[in-house]
Amino acid sequence: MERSEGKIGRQETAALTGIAAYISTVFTVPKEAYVNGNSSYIWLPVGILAALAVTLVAMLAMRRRGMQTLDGLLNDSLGGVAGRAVTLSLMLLMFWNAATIACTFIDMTHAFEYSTSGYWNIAIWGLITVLVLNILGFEGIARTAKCMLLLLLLTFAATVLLPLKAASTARLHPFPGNTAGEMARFALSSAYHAFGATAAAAVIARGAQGVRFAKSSCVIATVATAVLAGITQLVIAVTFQYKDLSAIYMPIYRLDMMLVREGYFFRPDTILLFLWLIGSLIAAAYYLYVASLLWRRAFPIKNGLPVVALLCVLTGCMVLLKYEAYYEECMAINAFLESWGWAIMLPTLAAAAIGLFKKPASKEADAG
Amino acid sequence: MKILDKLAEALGFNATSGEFELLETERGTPAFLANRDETPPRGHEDESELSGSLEKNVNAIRVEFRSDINPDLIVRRFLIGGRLPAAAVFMNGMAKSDIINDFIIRDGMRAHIGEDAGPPHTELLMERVFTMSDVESAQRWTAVRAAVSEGRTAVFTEGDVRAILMDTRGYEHRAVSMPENEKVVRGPQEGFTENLRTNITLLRRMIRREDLVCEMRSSGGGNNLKAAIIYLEGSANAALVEEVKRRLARVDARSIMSMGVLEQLTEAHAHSPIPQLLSTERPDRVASHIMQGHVAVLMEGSPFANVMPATFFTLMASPEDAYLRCAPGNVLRVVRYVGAALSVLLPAYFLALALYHQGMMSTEVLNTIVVSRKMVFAPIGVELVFLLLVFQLIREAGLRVPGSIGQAIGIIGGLIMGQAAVSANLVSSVLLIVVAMSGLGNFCIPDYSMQLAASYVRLIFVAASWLAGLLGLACAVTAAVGYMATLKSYGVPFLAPYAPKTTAQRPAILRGRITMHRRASDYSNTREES
Repeated sequence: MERSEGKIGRQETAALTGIAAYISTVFTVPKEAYVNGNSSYIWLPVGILAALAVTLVAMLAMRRRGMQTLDGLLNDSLGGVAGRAVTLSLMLLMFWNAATIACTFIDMTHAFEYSTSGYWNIAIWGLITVLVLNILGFEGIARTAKCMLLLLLLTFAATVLLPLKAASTARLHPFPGNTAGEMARFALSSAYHAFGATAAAAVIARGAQGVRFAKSSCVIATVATAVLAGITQLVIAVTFQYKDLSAIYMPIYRLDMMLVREGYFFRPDTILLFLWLIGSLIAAAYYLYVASLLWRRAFPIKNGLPVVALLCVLTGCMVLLKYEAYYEECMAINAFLESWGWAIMLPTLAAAAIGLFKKPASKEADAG
Repeated sequence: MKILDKLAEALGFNATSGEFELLETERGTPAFLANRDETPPRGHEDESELSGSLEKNVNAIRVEFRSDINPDLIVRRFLIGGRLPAAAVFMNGMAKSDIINDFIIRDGMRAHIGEDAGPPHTELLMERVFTMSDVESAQRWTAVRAAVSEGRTAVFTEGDVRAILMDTRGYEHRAVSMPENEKVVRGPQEGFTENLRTNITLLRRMIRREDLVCEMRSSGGGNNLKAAIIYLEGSANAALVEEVKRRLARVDARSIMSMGVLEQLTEAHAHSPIPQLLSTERPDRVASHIMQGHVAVLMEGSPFANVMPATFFTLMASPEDAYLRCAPGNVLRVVRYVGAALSVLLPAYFLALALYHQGMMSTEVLNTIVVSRKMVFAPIGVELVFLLLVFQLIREAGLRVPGSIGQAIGIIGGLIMGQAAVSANLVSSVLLIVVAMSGLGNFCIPDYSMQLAASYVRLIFVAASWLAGLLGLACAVTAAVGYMATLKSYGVPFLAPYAPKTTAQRPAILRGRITMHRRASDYSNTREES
């Protein structure tokens, strides 16, 4: 069985980018960000927009050089060897994003609902679903994202509206909470998390009907994500004092527990957790698909199914490594990437700059 | 390759299966089979032509139709104009004898043919003698055989190498009656019948346009039933029409008795539980889709039409929606989608809550469940699957027995047996209500194939919930949506016009005003769009 790249529309591209960006950024805010104060509602959107800015520059260069994909631009600007190396680093970024999402949601599910189950028992469900989505192909993932987008937007609305009764603007004190340096550092960290989603839109540009469509979808989705992420963090900030936040695991989940009432057949916090889980499955499947696509383009492989299957297994191995053997080491790598992960944007930015300075391609070549 | 071939041979992979083992024994073929003339295999076009000798032609058709053991073939010899030997050949019961008597034999015998009128007589007879509206001539045996098989009458004359074929079809068939499975309150009350010509007429009465094309084809079965491909020539996508023709031409089955068989043989994903075309018995529904640029296929002997392409929203729509005002129509649609969601999700959700997430239920609900299950010996998962099975049993039994008894089975199964099962502590009353609600929701789905698909999907969701609670359910729902998103019906994504989005105003969950529906559905790229 071979997976074809397929073609998706603007709404599907926007849904994929938006879901991936939101899940990658909002659910990965480190506790350390709340130690000295909470200004996440400022730096998180700024970071997301910074990632968008880098991607837009790259897309501009892609259009100028008549390139249909980001890896094409990297090869064109940096040469074969360096371009391929940067492509592989992007592939690793996508893979790491998928693994981070998997670990985050497995951790959440384990902590809040399945505390007596092993991590692997939880992980296997998610990984099989991600593999199934990838077997169904790019169009399948994209259309699933589109179908689930409304549900996830309702989930977002419930997440931010339910705790509003407990909100108090006094909790925003001290404003803005962090120094400019800290905010810049956190913004760069969130840019690293969001860059995977925005860069993925540039990687799949050919499947998204060209660079022009990919760009417009990416802009709409990322700006919307920045707004929604900012609102989420603002609601968290007005609900919890920053001193409490630094001790709370996954405050977005705790938000919905603020007003837990005894329901007949559901509790909003648990339901919302599983709805976000659906979003995380789509995001992880998307990242792994893009990672497999980059791999296939770096080392021309016709059949992508073994690649994506391997990546799914590797994601499972990452979960096992983190929770069964090398938790401290994984956390150290994570902390390092939180601080320096933004550097992965630099080669792309350099390639875009070189592309912009190069002679423009003929109009016929610029199909996007 | 040789090694692989040898290995395959050693393992028996290349062994031919022994078809007809019951007949072909080690001692050889039974005598009556060996003596029987072999008919040309299906797909082999018989190029042989008629002879100029009446005697030879009559003998040939007698052999073709095994008239020695088959009394249905009638060969009526007569003299046209008192001097030209001729024979009318038809199938007893398939052709209307009144027509043959009045317009073929009587007209033929009374005709005056001049002495100087030599062969060929075909044109002369067609123009001056037989007062029939549908007359044609044929030179090949294939056409003659097919015509006689479907109730036409073939007239052979001495010295002519062409036979005259006349439409004398007049077999018994059911009259047009109300659709049994797709009833509406407001709207036409006519349903298709088993007669292809009647069904085409029903459609033509609703679409009075000159570009309504009805192409006749063989359905592809060995039983040679005809199929009709119907579409608006000026509207339907030419590629879609070609694809329908291509798939029909590809069909090669032993026999095709109903539209359901043809549906499976022409679908791209025949193993999928989800149908990829609309099967309906309502002419108004088919006409509406044809007007939207879709293609319909009708078949002789089947009171159903297949409409393609069909999306999820097409299958979830009822003809009633369009006949009601916008607001009540929309309310009905929302109720239907809620019912469908309850049908597939409720049992699995309840099982997940009962097994893994008891904290999500209120104390009162939890108490009620515990009390109702106090004496039930089976685990709740087994109980649920058992009840779902019983529900399917009642439904199947109700469908297969005559109308009034079927209703009685529903009452006995649903009420009396349910009450007895609760009293006997076989099942709990809460779970009975959950399964009953799920069943009711299933009946909200208008398409029968979709109802069955929902039943399968429900079982998969129950299994996932049983194994992993809401985690399993979330994963299963995501995979199911992904699967539906990947399906295509004749090249159209199954979730169109939502994913991918098209500009079509219908069909979607909510329908707009009727004035918004002037354009054809653009997901099939009709000629109006291009």
